[in-house]
Amino acid sequence: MALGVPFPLKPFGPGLAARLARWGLVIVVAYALVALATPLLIQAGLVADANGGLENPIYGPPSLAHWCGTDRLGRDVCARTLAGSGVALEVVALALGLALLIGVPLGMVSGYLGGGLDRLLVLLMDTLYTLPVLLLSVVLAFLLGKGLPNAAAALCVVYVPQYFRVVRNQTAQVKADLFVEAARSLGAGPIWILRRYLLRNVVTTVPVLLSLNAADAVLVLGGLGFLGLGLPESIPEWGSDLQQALGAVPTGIWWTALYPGLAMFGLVLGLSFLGEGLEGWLSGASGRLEKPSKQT
Amino acid sequence: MASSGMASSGSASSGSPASGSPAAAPATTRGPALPILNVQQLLVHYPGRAVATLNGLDLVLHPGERLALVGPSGCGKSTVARAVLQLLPPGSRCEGGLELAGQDPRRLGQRALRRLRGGAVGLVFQDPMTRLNPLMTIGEHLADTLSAHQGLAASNERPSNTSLGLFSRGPLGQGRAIRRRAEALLARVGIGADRYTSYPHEFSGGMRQRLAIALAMALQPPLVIADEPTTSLDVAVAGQVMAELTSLCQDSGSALLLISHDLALAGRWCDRIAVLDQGRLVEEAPALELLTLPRSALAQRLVAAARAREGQATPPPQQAPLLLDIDQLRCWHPVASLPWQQRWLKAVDGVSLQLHQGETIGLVGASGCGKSTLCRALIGLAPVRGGAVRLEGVDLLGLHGRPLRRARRRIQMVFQDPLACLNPLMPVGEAIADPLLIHGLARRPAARSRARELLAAVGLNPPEDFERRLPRQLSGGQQQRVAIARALVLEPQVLLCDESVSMLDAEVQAEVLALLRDLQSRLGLALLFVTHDLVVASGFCQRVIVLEGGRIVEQGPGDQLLAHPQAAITRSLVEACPRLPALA
Repeated sequence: MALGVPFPLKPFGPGLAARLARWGLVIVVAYALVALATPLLIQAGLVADANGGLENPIYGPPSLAHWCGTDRLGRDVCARTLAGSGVALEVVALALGLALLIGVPLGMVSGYLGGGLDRLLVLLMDTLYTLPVLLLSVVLAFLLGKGLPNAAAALCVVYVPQYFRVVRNQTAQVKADLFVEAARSLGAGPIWILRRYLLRNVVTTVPVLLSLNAADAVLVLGGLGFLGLGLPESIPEWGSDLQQALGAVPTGIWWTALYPGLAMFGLVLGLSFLGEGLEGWLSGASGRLEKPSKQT
Repeated sequence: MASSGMASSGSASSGSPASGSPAAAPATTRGPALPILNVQQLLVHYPGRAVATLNGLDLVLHPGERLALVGPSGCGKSTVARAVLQLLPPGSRCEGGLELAGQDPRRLGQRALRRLRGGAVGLVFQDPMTRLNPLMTIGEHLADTLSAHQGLAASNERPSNTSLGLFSRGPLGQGRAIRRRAEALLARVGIGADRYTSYPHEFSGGMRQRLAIALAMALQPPLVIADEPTTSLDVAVAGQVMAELTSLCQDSGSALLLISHDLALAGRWCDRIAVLDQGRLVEEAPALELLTLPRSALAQRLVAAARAREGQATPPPQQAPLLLDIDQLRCWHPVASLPWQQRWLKAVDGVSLQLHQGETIGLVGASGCGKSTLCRALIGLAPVRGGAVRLEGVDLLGLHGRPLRRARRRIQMVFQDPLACLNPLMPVGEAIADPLLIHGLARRPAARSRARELLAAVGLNPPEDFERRLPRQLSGGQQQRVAIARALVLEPQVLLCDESVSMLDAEVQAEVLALLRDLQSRLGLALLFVTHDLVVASGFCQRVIVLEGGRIVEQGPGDQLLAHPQAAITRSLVEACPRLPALA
């Protein structure tokens, strides 16, 4: 969970940050393209159905018919791995979107208004924050039951406190600036100030957090699937596939574990690269902006 | 001052006080004829700039001399200091002759350069807070500087220094000696030894600047460079700080290079003035000569602007209907205290004034006198404890909700720092239109076209070029024009200007004041003009009110206050304010 810690990019200069961001973007876009293309490929018959496997051999090794082999139930590993990327991206996007929609406005209101409401929210969010991510999401996934929106909700609760903290602290800092006071003196109400004056000044750090959290969320979703929580069995998911593959690995059946694992690794790597790259790039850019341009 | 004794000053300066004081630093021992700073045809080119910032500058400064470097903003004044200390950003080009204390700083290695920076040149910056480490106490700052340059400091000491013997007595004695010397330095700039363990944030701006001076003078460098040292201070404090700086320089025989945009300040504290324009020396002359008989066109323009700023006659009062009536206004803030004996900070304590239509009232006072609190109370940012504010007969303090907001619309304020009061991410056109949208007075397209009209009205033409820019893409004067346009978009009847021109240089100041005057006559605005500068107030306002401790101590036409100040605070304001020498 040490994702908020900035990677020491500065010594390497902006070149590395830009390269990281570019590679991260390439990887993530590749996964998104796969996610979009897989249903079409399945429909066209080029890739087997992810759930159908009755006529296939069980634990078939990689062959021309099944490029990545088949698993315990005779399902095509290639099809399941490809389909899994779409599911992972869908759940993660939904979860982070929800977390953003809840965390950012809550943080802004809390930071701007201050007082009792602020203290209460900070207490609540910090309590949530202290709980281990997987534990929290396991409990929530158990309570909410299985299903795509349920898994997203379980993940989202984990990430709300992070956005809340970042945005609240930024808001509390920016609201003391003179331009907010000037806007108040012009007669602007709290909602107007939050929307027109604070929002754009406080969300600058959110994109970095977003892509770093996305990498984390992919892992947590895999963890939930591994524990048999979150998504129903009918939806192909890397975590649950890994769990099913685990029993067969000692007998020399490597393909059922390798491909889902590689897929998950690649997506996490891509999202992390993107996050670190963005972080380096944004902090470099803001450093350039803040450098005093005094030239009297 | 001399009695408090920066140990070294006592015996040495008694012999020959003012000019050419002997042997304060290694460079001076070679004889007074050798210049401490010698700049010949210096060219500095920042990376990514189209033109060179310094373009063939010649400057010679002898030990003990005091030279002021003046010029319009962007003329390369500050770059001189950076080039001398080799603090230029990487990739800059620096060519031509540059000699500091007989050495070329460009040829020195890192170690020798650091030694030169602290030992041969002391620097005083505009804003001391940004240069101080907030986690170090005042004493630690000084001790750090002293011990970092200890070898140098020890060699600079003369036998008369009482602490010299202690320098060689092991680390403990050394620490004690450093502390004693640091305390002596603090005492020299008027900070008591009991503040040794205070932190920078516990100091006022003036105290911080004094600390910066103590730091710069700690090693008695033969050259002190002061870059706009008093711009962020009020007049009275600025006067004291400059007096201390110059007397310290005189005592230790240091040369002073004062970088400033304020001609009057330069004339008061320096022997010679050099005028810079576009990286070139335009004119250099003794201060009095330059201020009375400027030869070059730029110097004439600068002097004329400075004279226009202070020399204007107080405008005559006019008969007009009463607009704003402030009656015994009190703004008290509770101070942490026992609940049964509540103590108050009386920022504004019973101020009454009447503002007529089209009238300008100057509100003058030292910092902390309550003038800003009064403005903030009038626009509703500071809580009011008692009294009445009547705008055309309606008491604003009795209103609530929508009627109050409608009434407040007619009082608007222009803040001191135009950059800080504009949203850094909002284009200026939108920033001007925003008040209309806040009050629902216009739809978006109408508001935008109104913003364009106002941009044109405040002299930002053509408005289409400016409306899409962000505040930091404008110059200081343009930013202040945007701030004025923004205040005017709601068509107020009263405009509060809180130090609205004090951060601008003299020429821009004159432009903004002319704009305000023009807008006032066109729109019939009443202006409440807050400033610490009595001279500006007297030239701009029909009446001037002097505040001290939240109360009015004196009021009347500005020229009379200047000529015959009655209250003590008015007298000190008049005296502290540097003025140009009268024309012969």
